[in-house]
Amino acid sequence: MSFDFKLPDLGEGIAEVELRKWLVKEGDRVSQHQGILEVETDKAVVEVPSPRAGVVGRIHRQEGETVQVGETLLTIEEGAQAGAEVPPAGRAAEPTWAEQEIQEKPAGQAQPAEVPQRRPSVGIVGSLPEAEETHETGRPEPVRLQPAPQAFQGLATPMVRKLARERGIDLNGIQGSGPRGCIRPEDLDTQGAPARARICSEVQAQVKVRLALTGDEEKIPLRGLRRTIARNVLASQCTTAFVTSMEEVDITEIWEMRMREQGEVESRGTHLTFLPFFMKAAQHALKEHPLLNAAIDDAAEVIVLKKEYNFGIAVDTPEGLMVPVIRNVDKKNIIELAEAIQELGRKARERTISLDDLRGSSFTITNYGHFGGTFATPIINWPDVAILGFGRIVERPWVHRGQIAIRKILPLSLTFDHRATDGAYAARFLGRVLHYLEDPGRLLLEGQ
Amino acid sequence: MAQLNMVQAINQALAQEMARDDRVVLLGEDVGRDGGVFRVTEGLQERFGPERVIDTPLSESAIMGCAVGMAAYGLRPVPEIQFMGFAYSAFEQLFAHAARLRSRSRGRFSCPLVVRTPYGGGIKAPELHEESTEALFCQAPGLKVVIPSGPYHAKGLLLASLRDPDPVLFLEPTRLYRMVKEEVPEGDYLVELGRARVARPGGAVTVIAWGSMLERVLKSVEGFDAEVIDLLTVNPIDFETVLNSVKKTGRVVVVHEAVKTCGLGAEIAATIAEEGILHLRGPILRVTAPDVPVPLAKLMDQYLPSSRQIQAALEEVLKY
Amino acid sequence: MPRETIATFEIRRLSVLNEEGKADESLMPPLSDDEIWRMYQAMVLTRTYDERAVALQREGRIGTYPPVMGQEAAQVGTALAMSPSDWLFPSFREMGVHLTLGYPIHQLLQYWTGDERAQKVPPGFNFFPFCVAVSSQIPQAVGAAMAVRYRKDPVAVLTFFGDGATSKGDFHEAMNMAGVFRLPIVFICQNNQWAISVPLKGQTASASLAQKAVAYGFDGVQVDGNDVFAVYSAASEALEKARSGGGPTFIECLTYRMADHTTADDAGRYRSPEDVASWRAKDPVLRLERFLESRGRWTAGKGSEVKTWATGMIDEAVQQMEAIPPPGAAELFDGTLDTLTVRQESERKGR
Repeated sequence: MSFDFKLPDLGEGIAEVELRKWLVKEGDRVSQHQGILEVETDKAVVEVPSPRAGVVGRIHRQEGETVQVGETLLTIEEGAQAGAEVPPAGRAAEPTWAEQEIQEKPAGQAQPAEVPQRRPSVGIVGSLPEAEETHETGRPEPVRLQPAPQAFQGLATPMVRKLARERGIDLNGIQGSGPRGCIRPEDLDTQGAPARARICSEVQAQVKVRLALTGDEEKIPLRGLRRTIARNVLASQCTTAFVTSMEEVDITEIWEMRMREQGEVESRGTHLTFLPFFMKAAQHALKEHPLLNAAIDDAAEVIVLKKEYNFGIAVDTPEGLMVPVIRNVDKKNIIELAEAIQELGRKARERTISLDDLRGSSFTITNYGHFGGTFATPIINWPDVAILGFGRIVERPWVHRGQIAIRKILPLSLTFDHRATDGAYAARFLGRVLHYLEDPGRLLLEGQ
Repeated sequence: MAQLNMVQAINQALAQEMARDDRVVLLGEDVGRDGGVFRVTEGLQERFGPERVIDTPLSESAIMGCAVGMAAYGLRPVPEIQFMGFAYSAFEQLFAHAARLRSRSRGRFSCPLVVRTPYGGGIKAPELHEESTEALFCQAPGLKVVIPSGPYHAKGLLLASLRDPDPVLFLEPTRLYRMVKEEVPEGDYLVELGRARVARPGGAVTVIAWGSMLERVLKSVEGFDAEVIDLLTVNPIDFETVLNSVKKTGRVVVVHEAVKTCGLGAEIAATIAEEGILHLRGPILRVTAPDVPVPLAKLMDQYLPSSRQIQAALEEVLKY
Repeated sequence: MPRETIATFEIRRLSVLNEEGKADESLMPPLSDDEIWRMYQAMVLTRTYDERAVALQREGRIGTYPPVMGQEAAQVGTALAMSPSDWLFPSFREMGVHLTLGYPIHQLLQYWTGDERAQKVPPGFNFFPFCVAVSSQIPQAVGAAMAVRYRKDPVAVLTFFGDGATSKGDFHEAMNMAGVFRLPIVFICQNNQWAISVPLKGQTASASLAQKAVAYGFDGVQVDGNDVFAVYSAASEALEKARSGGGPTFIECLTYRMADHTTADDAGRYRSPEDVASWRAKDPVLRLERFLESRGRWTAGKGSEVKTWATGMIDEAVQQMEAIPPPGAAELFDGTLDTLTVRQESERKGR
């Protein structure tokens, strides 16, 4: 759409002007109210603003020429190309300022056109920028704010939010003790640890890519315990520097001992498995290697050595993996440990494992060999720094006392957090576990 | 060291600086023969003569305007505005000229003057004698605003102001003029402008105050683990000291005598929010006068921030 | 007891050169022909500068500008009476003073482009920057005069303002202070009869502005402000009186603002062309030309020589002004304080 700009009535009875200077040239973009030329009246030099935004199409009159009111000065190209506003349909073309002044007079008082109009005065000093009705960039798209997945909706000050971010704590899991339920920094100290398992929410958010599916697949919602497990194992992998070390050990003697004692123990109502022996060996080795019976406080940057030997035991339940805790392993004998394991098994079957049963481990045991499997790379059960896994016991030809013999061989896989200690230390620990497992008598002789 | 009140400390600073520097000239209403309505300039005209301690007509705008001209000519005038409420008629000279002279002359002229004026409520004086509108003057870049809270700092800050190359508004808390006595060294010493001080160390909450409110704040925080910061200079504010304390405590209460809306508490809270929000445990609370004109004596206790209000604010932020 | 007369006063107007260019020889100040020619040159330079400044504004090359046309005599006459050690506190319509005393012309124009760097008055000029806040420079001038007296310097302080300023408190407070302390100051009021759209009679009910000095205990005199000899004469006398301890003087230069208040104003809205025309006949430049012509010192040729000289000066100044690089954003902070605040430093870095 093009607009012919005609010399407006400049008021004060002026009928013609001298075109003194063009301030734009063909092809220039002009905005509304931008000065585009200077004309000289017999009173003054006046800058004439453009009533439209657009691109200067054609300049009709040259500098130095005398121009009559109403003659076309230039053509302005409006529309999409120029990015200029298009007057709404049905609306008359915008009046020039001179016309506006007439229109703004109260009805009935409009002055006849022949009465000279004084040029409008907007002030005495300076020049007032006029609001521009530019729509060149178009109407901005409304920004849609979508809550981030799992966004915390409760009350917490920025300081608490920052701390939670740094420590990888999901505030959704925290009960605020401040005014109106506001979370205080101390709440993070007392409740933050279990919730830390969701550390990777940010990472998760980033990797949450919707898979392209054909529609032929079956979908199982990630819910309940499955989701918790998913979060926990991912969090552990995200926040520990895990290394797995593997070994094999001849446990023929423990095997034989168990065979020997099994009947006696069973008669007292307790099922004796190998697990209590493994636990005892691990506990004694831990006593000599306290850096693996520990946790890391990331915020405080300290390694926390535990004085208690509370072992998380990975248990397979119908819903999935759970890790209940057997406390004070060092204060229990083999039979007491067997009883505790049996009790946990019952709770798991009856689904009565409580939150308390799941808290407070200092080290974790996983008996993955129960389902077959030689070696594995167990995932650390945060906040522990180590987990010891036991594979399936198999009969193997083994060098025993200088002879090849068929022995019962147990594979072990130790995963530890390299931040807590180094490989040599872990290897020495594993060596001690082997040492006790090879000859359970040593538990008696050397165990502390 | 002598125990001096603030009137004596300021008088001593003026006398010492006038003896040291003949550019220092005092002017104002009743500052000469009468020694000032609060006796702050007592004895100075006798000692230095009427040419240097000038009793002017009752003419605040001219006092301030003259001081600008004197400063530009090379003197170091010390205009006194008898009460802060009278400074309003001198506002244009202070705000539009003293504060801007260096800038608008691009350094050709500077304006080293110190405007002294008593400010603040609680002295049972008539209307417009108890104003506390320091924030108004902090909107003038180029003007420093200094408010001592006791005799020691009054002397050191005044000496520093008198030697500052730019204009300083020096607000003297009237209620404390004779209320507090401190050891004040007889010799020359400066308290740096633009530097706050930790008036009382603490760990759980930062209380920011200045001038007339400091004494009340110090009494109110007894029994709290509160760190009290005395700003001393309210423009520019020493945010380094403020933020260091906030990083430690995570809790802030600002106490001022001026009304709440657009008071300095707003500036302080906004800056803490900009630069220290990640250290905040809870909201920044302001204990201020209500948004009403300064009342006369009968209602003054209802107007000024009280110990009870300050303590309530402390208890509130400590919940976070 | 009868009613006693405790004060009477009379206010005089001094005129030396009439509209026809005839001087009253008995009142002529002792000026050499060269000095008078210098007056003429300065007035033409002021007129030429002023015309150019208005055109530059119309062309968009400078910002809003307050023309001085018609007030050249009041400014040139005063400037030539000043000594180099005197101090000047101008308002904003005295560029003729600056031009007469050799102030850099490009710097005057630079100021009106909106460049604050131009307010840095060059060394050698005891001039305050232009002051746009009406009358607020007057107490400052009085303060400088107080400092002059304290220092016992042989200096007079001079301040310019218009008729509108005499309605403001600062004018009265300052005049009062000057009277009380008998200060070495000269108040020059360019009574151009218009404060934007308000004429003199809307500004005061007094018969003159000069009589306001009477209330403050010192001399007030009205001079024909379009008569450069009268202005020079009154200003010389007042400045000498100030320098020698005789106290302040108020000089009302009765003149007329021939142009709009500023380039953004249209005086046609509030005053009649007849009014303006009657003052065009009293043009101070024309009057001096007639005087010089009667003495055989001015011809049309000599007049255009002066105009050409002035035009050349202005051309050069415009070139210089337009060659000044624009200020950098960081210069916003220049001179705000002797040492910038921590916040200012960080704001400055961000630009």
